[in-house]
Amino acid sequence: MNKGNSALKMILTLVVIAAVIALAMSYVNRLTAPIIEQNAKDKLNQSLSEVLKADEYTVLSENDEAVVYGAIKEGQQIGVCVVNSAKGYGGDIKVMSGILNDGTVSKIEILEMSETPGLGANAGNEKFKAQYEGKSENIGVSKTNPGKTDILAISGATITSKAVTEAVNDAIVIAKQWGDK
Amino acid sequence: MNNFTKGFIKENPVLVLLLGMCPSLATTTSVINAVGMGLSATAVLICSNAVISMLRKLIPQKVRIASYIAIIAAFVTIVEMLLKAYLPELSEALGVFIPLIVVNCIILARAEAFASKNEVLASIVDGASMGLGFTFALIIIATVREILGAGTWCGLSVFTSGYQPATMFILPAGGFLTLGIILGVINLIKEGKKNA
Repeated sequence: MNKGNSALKMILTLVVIAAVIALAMSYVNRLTAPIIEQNAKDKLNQSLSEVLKADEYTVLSENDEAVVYGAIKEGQQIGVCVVNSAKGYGGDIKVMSGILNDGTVSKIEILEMSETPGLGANAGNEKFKAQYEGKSENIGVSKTNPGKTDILAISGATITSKAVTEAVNDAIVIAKQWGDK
Repeated sequence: MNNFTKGFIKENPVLVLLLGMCPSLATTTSVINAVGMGLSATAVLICSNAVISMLRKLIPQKVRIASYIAIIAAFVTIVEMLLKAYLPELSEALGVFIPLIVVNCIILARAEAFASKNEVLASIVDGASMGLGFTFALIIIATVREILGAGTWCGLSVFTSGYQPATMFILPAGGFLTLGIILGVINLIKEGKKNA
């Protein structure tokens, strides 16, 4: 007598459990998928209007290296927003840079990073990000006395500072191809 | 009642049973994260305990672990989807630790040790007790780490000004130190009770 343990009963139990679970999960997924998608869209739009205020944004190009959005205000393209990444201390840092038609940085935003809290993660602070505003090309990183085209590195997080700068410099180069003709 | 209070002190999953150490260290960098993690685990624990207790007579011995894992994974996935939809910021902060609730040993341990042998209602109470005990422990660890490491509690400034946060407490090393010292204090209190 091994009533409770016959192979058929074991298989049946697992199949029934799996079926019920699949049903429940697909139901919740149907319920939440549109909201999750909307959240992602809202977040993107919020970041876009944060780095470069405009009426609407169109995707100009999208590849492995970067996504480029054109920022259109009153029917004219006033600049582009570039989303790209660079290797930081704790993994890739995803940066969005708003770049005006004249090639200067309007504002930058860190979209994703896994830098050390208290050190590299300070790259998310307004004070650090504001340093990029108005810079135009070959931005350098300085630990002590930043010149006109340099930014001051976060103390204890030179690798992070360099990574963000690299992403912004790349973004400026990419923006040149997509600027208003 | 005793069934409910045991999870907080006498059988606290983190501080006494030393289960679920990984999320206890990783998600306690801020009190908000700790509460989010604790309550998510509690929700999963209550639901999985209830369902497993209901099915305890139907599930054959030999496939019980597989069944438990499937049931737990289902609830974790549902919680994950709900968090992503309604609390996107929290879900981003907790990241991979939400899906990892599936393998949180507290949940499987309660399924095996309690829900598979007890009535549904008692299992729900057990799940709530253990889950809230887990949350309680996370809040204690996170309070120490956030106040020392960032100078804030729940994001609010604790010190007037001029406090230089000891960043180390937010880093993994600070997590181990905090946990070790808290466990030591608890053992000290227990010893004292025994001797008295």
